Amino acid sequence: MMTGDAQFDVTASERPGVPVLHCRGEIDVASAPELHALLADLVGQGPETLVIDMSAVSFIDSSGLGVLVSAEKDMRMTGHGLRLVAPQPQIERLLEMTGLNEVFTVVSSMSDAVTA
Amino acid sequence: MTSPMPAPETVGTDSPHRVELALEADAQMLFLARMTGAAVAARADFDFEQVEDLRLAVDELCIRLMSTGGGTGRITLLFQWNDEGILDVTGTLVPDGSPSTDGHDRRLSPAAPSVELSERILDALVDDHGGDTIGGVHKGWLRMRRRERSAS
Repeated sequence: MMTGDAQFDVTASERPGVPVLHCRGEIDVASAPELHALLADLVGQGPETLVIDMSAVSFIDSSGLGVLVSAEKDMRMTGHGLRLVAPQPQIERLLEMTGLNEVFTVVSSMSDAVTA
Repeated sequence: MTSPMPAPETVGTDSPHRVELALEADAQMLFLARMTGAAVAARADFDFEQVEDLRLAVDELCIRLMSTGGGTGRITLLFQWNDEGILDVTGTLVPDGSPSTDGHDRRLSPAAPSVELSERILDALVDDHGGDTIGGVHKGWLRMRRRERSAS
């Protein structure tokens, strides 16, 4: 699925039994609601693992992080897990600065995400 | 660190470098504020990491203004910096109090960030920041100091 925001798009795919969202561009207050809706839908399907490919995300602000935190909480409540794949260095740094690196499971590759 | 006080005036009106940006308080328009913040930081000779920091900090400043203000209105951002490497950003949101007329809701959605998370980001990114509302006009400000570059 492509969103309507020219600076952000997200596509969904599936590795065997594992839904994967590939995000690209800027996750900001304009694009976060679309990501929120997609994630809420996927989380509602009850997968054991949900993977978000962050490798092509160039920017994320508190609204985007809030959406990810919300999805992580929902997954954790059902005993399941959310994994973030290969965030760019500036986003990894932001996760560290905000302490959210302790909240999320961050892995360096898609293969790690779907097999861990 | 957050302060309830208005922006300090040390860079202020005698600053040799000033850039002003006015835009609609619309989530779709915030990329313009980010771009301007990054361009100003680069112009002020901040390093790459601080350019990225200011890009995000300006975005968070606008989000805070919009969260406080609600509805529609106009944001004005004033960037001022001096040769000593102090850069101030002052944001003002004047709400117009009217609902959107084109069916597009420009306000922040329920997926909008928590104030706490935005606060944590600003605490980490800038040297000082704060905000206030006076007479229905919402103001926010932040300050960054240019980092000394290590000798190569």
